Amino acid sequence: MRKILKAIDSINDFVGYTAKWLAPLVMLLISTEVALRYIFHSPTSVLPELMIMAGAALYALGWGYVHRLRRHVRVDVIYLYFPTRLQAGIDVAATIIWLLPMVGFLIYVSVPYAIRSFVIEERSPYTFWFPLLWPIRTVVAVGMILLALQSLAQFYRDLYLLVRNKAYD
Amino acid sequence: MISLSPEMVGLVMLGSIVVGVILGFPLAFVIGGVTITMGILLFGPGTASWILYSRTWEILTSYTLLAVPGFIFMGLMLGHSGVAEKMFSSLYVWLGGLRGGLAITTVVLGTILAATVGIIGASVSALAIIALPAMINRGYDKALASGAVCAGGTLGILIPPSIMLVVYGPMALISVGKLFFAAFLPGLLLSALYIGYVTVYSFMRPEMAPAVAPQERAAPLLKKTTDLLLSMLPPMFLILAVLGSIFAGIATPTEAAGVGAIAATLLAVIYRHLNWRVLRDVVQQTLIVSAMVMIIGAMGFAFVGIFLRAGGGEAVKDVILSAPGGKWGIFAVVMFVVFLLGYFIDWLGILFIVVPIITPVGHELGFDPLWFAMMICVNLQTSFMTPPFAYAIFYLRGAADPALGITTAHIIRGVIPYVLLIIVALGLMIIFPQIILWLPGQMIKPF
Repeated sequence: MRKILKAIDSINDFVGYTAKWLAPLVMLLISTEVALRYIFHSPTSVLPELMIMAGAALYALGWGYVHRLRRHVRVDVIYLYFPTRLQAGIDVAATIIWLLPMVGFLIYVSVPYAIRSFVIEERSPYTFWFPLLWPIRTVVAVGMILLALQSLAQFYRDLYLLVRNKAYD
Repeated sequence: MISLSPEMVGLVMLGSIVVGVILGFPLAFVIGGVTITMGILLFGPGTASWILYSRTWEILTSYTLLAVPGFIFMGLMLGHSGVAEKMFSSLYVWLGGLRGGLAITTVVLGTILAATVGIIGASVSALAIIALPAMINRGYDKALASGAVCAGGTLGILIPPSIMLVVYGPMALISVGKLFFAAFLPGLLLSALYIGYVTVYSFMRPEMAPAVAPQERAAPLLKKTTDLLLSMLPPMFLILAVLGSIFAGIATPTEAAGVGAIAATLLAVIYRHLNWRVLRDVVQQTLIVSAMVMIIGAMGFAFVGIFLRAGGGEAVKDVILSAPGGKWGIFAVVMFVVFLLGYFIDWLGILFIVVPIITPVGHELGFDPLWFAMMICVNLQTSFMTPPFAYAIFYLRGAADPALGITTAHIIRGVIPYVLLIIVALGLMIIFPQIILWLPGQMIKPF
């Protein structure tokens, strides 16, 4: 079990370390498009599509990583004063009734949709470039899976703390 | 599938969010979980999960929201470029000699930083690190000093470019550029009220905010001036270029954010503050903050989808519209509800959930949408400063050196006058709506 949890952590760490470079990439894409349009008077339809895809990948791949760091915004004014076992209890209960259904259904739709997008060759309707959408649909689905894996890993740790009253790692 | 009355749906959905958030579970997961479970109960798993996914997709691929990582990147990069320290030390030699001068410097710096960062955490932390020790070490009253830091730093969320406005625009179907310029004068008004308050207060109670001794701020006039200009000009130029290009209709806020991010990086290179570690830090924080904002956005947008489909929006509208006192009575209720929610829910939650629900109420009452939006945004300033859930206070506590001996009681006492000043500003904006509406009316081609 320990190995599985460590593996999930390292996967999300790796994805976070890599995906963060999408942020400067988005900025460069935007700036290049602006420069092309105003300096060279030759706007493209490729760059706007690419910047949106890079942005979507940036957020979606970041979700699992942020959860790995336990940095998703929580209002912890009261939470901080709870004993750690109660904190774990809240996290366990809320994960069962809210988080797992949320990630579960996101995967339930996004994975088949990515496959369908590949099969029917879905294309973006916004520019005359009409790029294929399955790559970004797949990245988003992967992001959901990564968030789900991390949720399960945190869930196991919280459950362990709740039952055994000591931290797992 | 069960059928519930719209009132019941509204109550259960909003109620579970408040409970979940207060218990301390991450906001996005509470919102997403309530959305999917209630959605399944009301419309079945097929429809509910489709709404969840398609609305998530819409947020992820929004062109307007692409300005969020851009402005975060730009703000973090400017924060690392050391401009804030430079500005503080050069403003300080000018204003330090006045009674309360350091507190005034703090608010002025907060106003300028506000135009560079756009995320409240960044500007409050910067002021708490740079300005707070300077004030406390020179015998300023702790409440006065921490109040100035919170109020000055909170301006960061209002004065453009601001993430709050980038998010508000798509949620209320208002152009982000227009919102930026609608927020400009209200932001300066707040800043002026804060400075006025500090001046009057320290004039009446000099012992609370002593003037800095002349020998500590002695510098030749020429040096003082060039220091000020050198420290202010590059970041001001950057900000004016970013905002100016939006104002003139040359660039969308997204383009301005992207170009601003690259320009801020170049500025950091010029100031010799850019190295591998800084770049990695900025990039990583950009990933974390924008992922965190977008998941709340995606889940909030899905929540609103289910909520409106179940008739919750109409129910809320009916309840609010049945308030006594005519148009202004109802308006007061709306403002009060936003103020109250600001206590419990993170501002992102308010923007993504409450704004789409109450914007139609504003339309129904016949208010100018831009004016209505800006009243909400200025109102939200109080929610950052009013305990128990006050972000400005958390960030101040987090960033302030413990050796300064600032307690939460000091901060709360210091913040109260500023909250009252925000209410004064709201009153002024009701009497003179032009404070909000004049500048956006001058825009050349609003996006």
